[in-house]
This record gives sequence, structure tokens and C-alpha cells, in this order.
Amino acid sequence: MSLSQSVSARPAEPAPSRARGRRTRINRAHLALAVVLVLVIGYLVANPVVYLLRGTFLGPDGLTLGYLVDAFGQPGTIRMLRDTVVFGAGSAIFATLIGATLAFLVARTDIPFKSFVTAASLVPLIIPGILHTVAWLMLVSPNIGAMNPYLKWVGLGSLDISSMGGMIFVQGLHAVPLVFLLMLPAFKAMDPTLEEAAAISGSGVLESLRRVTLPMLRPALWAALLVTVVNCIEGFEVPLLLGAPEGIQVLSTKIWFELSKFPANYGAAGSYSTLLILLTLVGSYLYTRLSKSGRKYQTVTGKGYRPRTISLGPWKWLGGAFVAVYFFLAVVAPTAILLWVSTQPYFRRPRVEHLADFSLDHYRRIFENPVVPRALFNSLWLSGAAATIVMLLMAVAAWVVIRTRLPGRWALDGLAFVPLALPGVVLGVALIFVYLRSPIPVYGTIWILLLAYITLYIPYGMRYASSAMYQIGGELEEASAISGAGLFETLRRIDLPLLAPGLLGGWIFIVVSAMRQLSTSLLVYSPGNEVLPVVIWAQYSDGQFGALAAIGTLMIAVLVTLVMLLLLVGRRSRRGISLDAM
Amino acid sequence: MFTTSRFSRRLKVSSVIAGACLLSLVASACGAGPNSTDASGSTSFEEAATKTSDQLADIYDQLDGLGESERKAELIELAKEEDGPIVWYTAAADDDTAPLIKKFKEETGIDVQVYRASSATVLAKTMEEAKAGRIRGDVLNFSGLDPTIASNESLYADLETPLADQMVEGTVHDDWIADQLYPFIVAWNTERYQGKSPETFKDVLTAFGDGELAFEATDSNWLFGVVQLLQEQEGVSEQEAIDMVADAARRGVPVVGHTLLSELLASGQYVAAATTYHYRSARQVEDGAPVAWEPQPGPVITTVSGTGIAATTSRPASALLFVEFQLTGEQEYWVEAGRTPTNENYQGGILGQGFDLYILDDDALYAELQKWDDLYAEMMQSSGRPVRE
Repeated sequence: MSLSQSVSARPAEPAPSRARGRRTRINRAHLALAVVLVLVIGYLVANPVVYLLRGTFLGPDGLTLGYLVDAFGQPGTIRMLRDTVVFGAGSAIFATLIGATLAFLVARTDIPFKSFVTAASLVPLIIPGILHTVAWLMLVSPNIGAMNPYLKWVGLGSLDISSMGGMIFVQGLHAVPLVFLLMLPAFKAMDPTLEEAAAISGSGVLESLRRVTLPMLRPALWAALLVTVVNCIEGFEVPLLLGAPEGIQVLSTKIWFELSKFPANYGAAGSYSTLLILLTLVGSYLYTRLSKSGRKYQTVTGKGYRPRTISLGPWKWLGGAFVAVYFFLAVVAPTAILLWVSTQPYFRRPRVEHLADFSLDHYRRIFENPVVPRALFNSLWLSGAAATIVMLLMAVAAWVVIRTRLPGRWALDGLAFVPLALPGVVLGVALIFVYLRSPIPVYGTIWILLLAYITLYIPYGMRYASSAMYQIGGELEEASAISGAGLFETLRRIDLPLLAPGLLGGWIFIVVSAMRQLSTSLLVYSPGNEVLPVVIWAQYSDGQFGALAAIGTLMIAVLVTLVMLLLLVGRRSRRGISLDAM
Repeated sequence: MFTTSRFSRRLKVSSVIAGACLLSLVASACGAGPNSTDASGSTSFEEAATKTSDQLADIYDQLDGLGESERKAELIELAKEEDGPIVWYTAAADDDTAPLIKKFKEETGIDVQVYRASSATVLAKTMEEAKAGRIRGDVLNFSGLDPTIASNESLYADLETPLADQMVEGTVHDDWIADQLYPFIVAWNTERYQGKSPETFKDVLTAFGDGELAFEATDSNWLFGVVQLLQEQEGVSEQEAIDMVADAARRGVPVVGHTLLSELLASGQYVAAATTYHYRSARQVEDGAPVAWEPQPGPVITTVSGTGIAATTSRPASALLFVEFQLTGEQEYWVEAGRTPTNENYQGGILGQGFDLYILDDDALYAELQKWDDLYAEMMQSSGRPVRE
């Protein structure tokens, strides 16, 4: 039997899935769980979506398609949509290639500097979008780019980051952590026996990668690509700051301009967002179809597994060089430029003679601002709480979608995907609209921020949880059930521990992203309940770019220290969850 | 084939999704929709606004004829009878709000809580609150055209204060008064431009080559102003003036955000910027950045930040006290901070330096808002594209 046959033969085993299906169909507990989940997720998601749809299809005189026609009938719409596709797909493919390669190198090979990569991979995530984009403006612009002289020296000429290529590069780099965190647990959880079988059958490393490893990772890869495409299309700061000089407009900047007008054009913004929602729903549906025969991707089975490290031989140095280049581009270059800006009185190109003006005034200003400690505290607990709630909720939701055969479970997956397509401003206005009128007394309190963050990060939680779930075989749950465990005990003792590395990846992604979430936070926070992004935005809008760079530098320092500590703790503890386990 | 139980189960799950949607539909269905801009439409808003208006009328009666210090003392007494801290909605800078609140508390003993965001965000939030019946802020500060919009949406209560007589012409309205001027200035990088300073707006628009002159991407109010001034300076028609700006915009570069615009100018990415804010460039000059902005090519196009009492405040005396503080104590602070005040008793910023100010006629701009927004957006989109698609 050839190798590909042996892999693809697995879904041909019908009995367990039918048996599981039959058991699921008669299980009222599953249905009750699904009902609760649909209610909770449905309530959170429906509020902003209904608001958006009302704005799009309801005019002063009743139902209308007028806003839709006006929005898509504007001159330049086709160019805008084309640029959106090029930008979204380009940056997502770039991010997926880099992120997946990094995850593979870290999880499965013996490359050097591995321990740095996990920490380093998160840095682009923590840098506020405005700062990350401006850092690249400072690095690769025709007149001020600090890297341009070196680029000329290596024969690349004077590059301009304010171009479609530059936008794809910066957005892609920003999205790498999303892919890396999604792919790392999948690579870690791979069953090496299949690769060993490939090796015995005479396959080389590359062939077994192509014919065994990649097909096994298909759900995780699709999840990463899908969520990254939408994440990049929604990406806002990069096209706004780098696209504007070239007259490039994409869906997200168009929505921003429509909402910045007075009166805010909710009709047009809603029309564009509705298109985005439809696209994500189609993507979600296709993804579910592609992953339907999920059993063939299960690698953590009842037979035991132990991920194997592939020895790359001398090639490990090439892998190491790849990691080093990534580390330089994603971490060293932007951090260095931010550090430079944070110690200078104003924005200028790094030169030795300017070192005379070195000052820590911007850092002093941050620590003198009484709002900063409060905002930092609020951001930390809010993002931690939102991440915990989302990941627990979505772990169960992913289980319902993947493990049970309940009718309508695809809708749960689709529902959980929708917030990805909601512009933050629309969510913010919708939350204000609903909770000003709701008997639930959260308006003007910090709890509305928690609701906002939970809603915003449901899609990411779902993707992280479901790609982890696809790797785990159903027979472990069956064994648990046979041994007399109930639904919740099985979830608690079998699924959650096995899902933990994937859930932890999602948790980290959500915590870090929520610490940066601006557009919704700015609308729904209330006096005394400031969060970090609000403070960051204030520095930017006040023209305090140096102070903003100082905050960014401190955030990077704190994050890298925290991750390194986690790595250290993870290594020392034999059991438990650590980043190393991801 | 469906069995009855399978069918009912499918129906059950589907109905749950529908139920959740219905829940939200019900929650979302009440009140005005997103496309309604009529903030003052709800009955509860009108009731609250009438109550505030009546209370304010009583306060104005009580203060009538009092001298400046007696009026302040009386207002402090009235404010102390009202509950809770004043809630101030503002687009003012973070570094400014904290010292202002401290100064106000020292003067009056009354606390202020601040909600700050971009002017457009503060306006959007205020309008949503108004649609739901009551604005949660007591004092409302917006910038640019937003105070005019807020006034047209009836978000402000009537404002009567003797301080109105001390203000720069064009900054006093029935329900709001400008508390700070934001002059748009032309600035250039002295390392990249050593030529003659532009003497007219036509010079500004023609002196710089491809990719050298930067514009902030959303300053449609500046376009409105510069078109009026070009007509006066050059004796051209409105369309000819618009074409002159459009030509410059095609060769120029749009930058999103005044902060980034100023920083990129100082760093030398662009040779000149047509629409920087005075205080930012002036601060950069003080910090030693290679930036210059004097002389200006004509009257300085100026927009404002405006303050007023929220139409539905339950603390009208406190709100009036804070607004009057903004027109006096805050003005002193602006002078110290290098900003441009609006009270002529406090000369600072660009005031008193011999510049003519051209304060934008926001009512005229508001009447043609769509036209100027669309024109400017089109110009900014045409950057680097000689022929528009």
C-alpha cells in the first residue's frame, strides 16, 4: 500500500463516525449545550449585525437597496475592490508562508535559536498598528528610509514602502504571529508514525513533507489562510498610512472614510461590510466542507503519539538564517527605529550626530500621566478575562461543530465567524445603541468593554479551538464515555487538556490583540475606565509621537520578558501548560 | 429521510438561532436607526432638554447683573448644590485635560471626569446618547465643523455669558463658543527647501514639484477656506481656484493625520506641508527641528474647538461654571502651552503676532458640506495620477 493510500484510507473507516453520530443524535446534553452556545454567541453577534443590516437596508422610507447601489456605484469601486483582493490575498499568503514555515521549523526541526522564535514571533502583534506602520515608513521611504542606503548597496535600489508591495509586506509581517500561533500546535501535535512510514517507504524529507505532513495539516492551514485573509482585508492602519500617498484605497479605508464623514454614511459602510460578511460566511462554509472528513486529520489518537524532531543536517543553518532574517525584519528593525524615535525630540533619521540630543523625556511623560497605570491595569484584566471566556466558550463550540452531528452546527461555526467582518467602529456604535436602551446596565461601565472584546475575538477563538480540535481523535472521548464519564467530565478531563496548547495560542493572540484594540474601545469606554489603546491613541492624536514610540518600546520589552519567563517556567515544569508545549 | 424526532431536533436548533437573532432584533428595533441623524427626535430627549433649558433660564436670571467675581461665587454655590462630578466630553489633548481639571478643582473645589476621543467619535457617541434620550456628558467640546453640527442637531443648550464680549470675532454662537483656535499653516523643511518663502497661496500650490507638497487627507474645511482666499488673492472664479488646488493635489501627497504630517515634514520626507496645525510646527521649531513656517502666504485659515452646555445636563450650574472657566482660566493655560486662545484678554499662540486670521465660516461650510468633502476626497485620491480614472 502506498503512503498516500494509507493516509487517505483513514476516512474510509465509517463505523466509528456513524456510531459516534448515532450516540450524539440521542444525547440531549449535546443539544442543550448547543442551544446555550447558540444563544450566547447569537446574542453577542446579532446585536451589531442587526444594527449593520438596518443601516444598510433600512432607509427613512422603509426597506431599500439604495445604499447598496450608491456604495457600489461610486466611481473607482472596481479599482478599490481589485486593490482589496490583491492586498488581502497578498498579505495573507505572505503571512501564511512565513508563519507556517516558522511554526514548522520551531515545532519539528533542530534549527538553532529556536527558543527566541516564539517570543520574537509575537512582537509584531504587540506593536500598535500605527507604530508598526510608521516604523516601516521610517525604514523604507525614498527620502528618510534608514534602510534604503543599505538596500541600494545590495542592489535593490531605493524602495518605497508607500506602495502595494510595501503594504502587503508590512501587513503580512503584522499577521505572521496569527498564523504562527495557529500552526504551531498543529505541527506539535503531529503523529510521527506516518512520516516514519513515509521514510521507510523511501520518501525523502521534502516528499514526506509534501505528501504526508502538509495534507495532514490541511484544516489548520485553511483555517490560518482564511482567518488571515479576512484579518488582512480588515487591516486598517497599513492601507490608510501607506496606501494614501499612492491613492490606493481598499475596503477598510473606504469604510473608515465613509464613517468619518458627517453624517456618517452607515449605508455605504454597511454595504461594504455586508460584502465582507458574505465573503467570510462563504469562506467559513468552504472551510467546513473541506474539513468535513475531519478524521483523516486526527493525529492525537488513543494510540499515543510523540512528535519527532526532524534533523535537517547542514540545512538547519539555512533554517536558522530564515529565522534570523525574520527576527531582524519583524523585531530588530522596527524596535530599533521606535527606540530611536522615543529618545529624540522629534522625528528624524538616525544619525550619529543626533545622539547628542538623546533624552528620556518621552518615557518620563508616560510615567507622569496618571491615567497610564489605571489604563494598563484595566487593559490587562479585561483582555485576560475576554481571552479566557472566549477560549473556553469556543472550545465547547468547536467541540459541538466538529464532534457532534447536530443539525445546524455549521450555522454555529458561521455565526462565530461573522464578527471578523465587522468594522470596529460599527461594533462600537451598535453596542452604544443597544445598551443605551437595554435593561442590562452595562452602558457607561467597564463591562461594555468586556462584551465588546468577547464579541470581537469570538472568530479567532473559534479558529484556534477548532484547528486544535481537528487534531484530536474521537476514540479518546469514546473511551472516556465507555469508562462511565459524562459529557462535562469528558470535556474537562479529555478534551480541554489535549486542546490546551491550541487554546493557549488563541488566548495569547486575544490578550495581545485586545491590548491594542482601538476603534471600539474609543467609542465605548467611559470616564475612569480608560484602557491602554485609548492612552496610546491620545499620545498619537496629541502629536506626541516620541511618547507613543516610548509606549510601544515598553510594551515590546514587557511582552518579550513575559514570554521569556513563561518559556523558562514551562521548561522547568514537567507537566502543565507552557508556551513550549504549543 | 427525516424521522419526526430528527426533524423536530433540526427545527429546534434552527429555531434557537432564530430566537437569538430575534432577541437582538427586539433589542435593536427600538429607537432611531443608524441612518437617522435627527439626534433630538425622541420625546424623552425633548423632555430632558426642556427641563435643562428651564433650569438654565432660572440660573441666568439669578446671575443677571452680578459682577465677574460675584457671578463666579454664586455659580460655585449653585454648582455645589448639584450632585456628582461634571462629566466633560472633549477632543482636547490628554496632556491638557489633566492640568485643566486640576486648575478648575483648585479654583472651585468641584471634580471633573473626562471622556476624550477624536472629535468625530465624541460627536458620534453624543448623538447616539441623544437619540436614546439623554446625553451623559455635561459639557461638550468638539473641534472643526463638529460644534456647528452639534448645534444643528440641538445637542447644546442656550449659552448666555458676559464673557462672549471678550471673544475673537466669529467665535461666539447662540449655544457654543470657541475656546481654542486651530490655525492651519503652511510649513516647510529648511533642509530640503531654501528658496523664497511662498508669498501667496498660488505660490504654495505651484512652487513644489512632484511628491514634495503634503496635505492632510481629510482637511476639506481647509479646501473651502483656501478656495475663498484664492478667489480674493488672484481674482479667479471658484472653479478656477478649485482647479488650482486639484493640480497641486495631483502632484502632492496626502498623509492621514496631522501628527504624522508634521513628523514626516520634520524628518524630511516631504519638502512642505500645506495644512499643518500651528502649535505642532511651532513646537517643532522650538525643539530645533528643521521646520519653518513664517511668513504665511496670506490670512491664516483657522478652524476652532468649541464648547457648550449639553442640552440635557442635570448639572446646569456646574456645566456653565466649567464653560466659563474654559473661556478664562483655560485661556491662560493655552497661552502658557503655546496654543492660540479665543479670549482677546489672553494674547498667545498665533494671536498678537501680526497675522490676519481667516476664521472659517462654519455655517456656510455646513450648508455645502457634501460638496467640499467629495471634492477634497477626490483630490486626495488623485495623488500621483495625472488623469483621474
